[in-house]
Amino acid sequence: MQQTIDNEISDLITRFDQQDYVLNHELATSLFLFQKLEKPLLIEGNPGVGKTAIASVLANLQTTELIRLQCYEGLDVNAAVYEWNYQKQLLHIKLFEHKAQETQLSEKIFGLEYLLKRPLLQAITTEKKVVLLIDEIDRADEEFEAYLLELLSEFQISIPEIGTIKAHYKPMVILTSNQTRQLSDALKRRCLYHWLEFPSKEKELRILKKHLPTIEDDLAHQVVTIIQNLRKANLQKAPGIAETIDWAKTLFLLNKNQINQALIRDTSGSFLKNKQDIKYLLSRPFEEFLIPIKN
Amino acid sequence: MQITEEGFNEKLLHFVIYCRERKFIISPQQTLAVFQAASLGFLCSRATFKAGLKTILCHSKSTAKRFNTLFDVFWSSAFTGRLEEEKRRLPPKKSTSLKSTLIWLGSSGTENQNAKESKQTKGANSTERLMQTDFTKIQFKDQHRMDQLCEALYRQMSLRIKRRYKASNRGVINLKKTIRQGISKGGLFLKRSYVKKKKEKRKIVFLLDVSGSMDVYSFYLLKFIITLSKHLKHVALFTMSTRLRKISPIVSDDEEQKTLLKISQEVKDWSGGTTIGTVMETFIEQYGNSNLSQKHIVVVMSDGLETGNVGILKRATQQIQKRCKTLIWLNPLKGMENYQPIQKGMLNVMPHLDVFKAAHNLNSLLQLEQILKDV
Repeated sequence: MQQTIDNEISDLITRFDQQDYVLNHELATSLFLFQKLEKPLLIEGNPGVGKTAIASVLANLQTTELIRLQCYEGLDVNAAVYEWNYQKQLLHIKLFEHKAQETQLSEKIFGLEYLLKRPLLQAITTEKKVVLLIDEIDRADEEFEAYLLELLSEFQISIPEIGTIKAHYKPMVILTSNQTRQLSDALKRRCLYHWLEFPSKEKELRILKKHLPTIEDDLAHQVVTIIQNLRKANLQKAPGIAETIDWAKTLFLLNKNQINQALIRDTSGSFLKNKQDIKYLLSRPFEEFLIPIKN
Repeated sequence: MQITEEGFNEKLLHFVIYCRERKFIISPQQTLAVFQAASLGFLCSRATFKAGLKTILCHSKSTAKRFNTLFDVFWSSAFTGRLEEEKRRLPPKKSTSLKSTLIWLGSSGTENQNAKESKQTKGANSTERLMQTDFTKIQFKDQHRMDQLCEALYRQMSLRIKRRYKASNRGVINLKKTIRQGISKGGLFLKRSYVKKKKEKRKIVFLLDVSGSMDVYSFYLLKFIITLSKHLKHVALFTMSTRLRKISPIVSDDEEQKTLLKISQEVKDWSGGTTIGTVMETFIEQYGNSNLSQKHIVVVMSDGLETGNVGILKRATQQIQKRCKTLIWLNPLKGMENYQPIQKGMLNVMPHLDVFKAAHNLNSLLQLEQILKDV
């Protein structure tokens, strides 16, 4: 049995690899359990470490739909769960105001056909298993976080006029957070958890090679070493994996094989997004960032 | 050694309890998930078993980092239940915060002349007394209790600020709700519903003076800010000494002791000199665009003992006050009897402040709740 589980986890790593996402054993185990236990998975980590990408890769692998809810401050039930189609309801009232009784009318206009489904309701009423990505949950208000508890534990949504709608197929729920605020214990308790670190140098090199197979080894090494050193430098905004790829692509397009001070100055905008950070980078000799670091 | 399933389940349960004793919040559902995972066949491969338990039992970055050590200690052959039992029998370890307090306060930990004054501070009980005692007069023996009290009260205050809501019957008519209510009345809109624009939450920026003259106060003020940051979304923290340092990213760590340690590593010139004016000018220049607007409340925590050019300080304060919603200056010296803001620094900034308050003891910090409720 054990052999089967290890095989399944290795298989998951391979399948993600085919989708250009490099998984380590720990994250693969989390994803394996996530699928087996059918519990939501909360992934926390710095911006740019690849949290959101996991959901889209998973949806691709499962050949299913990815339903995404982008959280923001002020997100409410109307935008996330459902909203009544008021125009349609009013039209119905006008059409049948002399023909139907009041009770019949209200029964009719509070039916599912008058409901506008937003991502969460859509995810639990779809006739197949979908991947539901609740992205950057830390940006939403605490009230909304509390509203999610029912969905995350029971996979159901209560609508006062209709009742409780339970999922026929439990969606695979992935929540991501950049840790801009602490999430409630109640929410965390309902989820599996994975803290996603910035990748090690070896892993980042593999990721880079996946996205830019033709990049020269030497250039890839230099790019990754500089980025890894910058992450240790306590910048305002440490460069993520996307920035590493962007920078490597920039250098590749410029047909450069060797990094120098001038090149760093000209291309720093592709991997640093803060004035102070760029100033810090340019104030130091670039060789300082080429010193190999130990992970 | 062959582990029987029963024996293994028992040990697994012990591990859950072991983690729970070490501040892991583990619900019965999570315990159940652990057993479900075990029944899937996670038993023999250590790496898979460890990763599986980790994803079920951890709930934050810090617990994820601590988990590996806990797992290795518990499941290593060196681990014996007896050893654990022995540890449990030992008196509880003194909180490390005491040690860090000492580092920050630079205290030798012996009774000193402040002790007398601390004892003389009147209060109904020890809590009341500590709340009224000036931070510089806290005795060594009271420091641990003071740390606990600060944490509890700051936390309560943050939660109160976060949960405060106002109901209103005025505002703009909520068309959707009014129509919906009208449906049951045959289309007559007998009852009108109103909607009021949600009050925009303010963002708060702390500028904490960490110079030598603020030494003792800085520690308690920092703890206050760290606790607020944990519960409020928009808190930015900068330290002021001879240079400006943004330390909000460090404060986001959920373990206070680690946060303090990181700050001590980051802010090299803690307890050094300060040029408030120049540093505030740097703040405007570098961070003004993102931290100064009508959404921002700026709180400067400083004694105002400026060693640099007072003109620069005046100009910087004036600019900050113009660009932010409210400028609050918390001066620990204001808590002293007969204090007059007559030093050059304070004299120059006073006309440009919206609020000028003391911040010398716990009570004075807790009074900030009224000002911060908009945050």
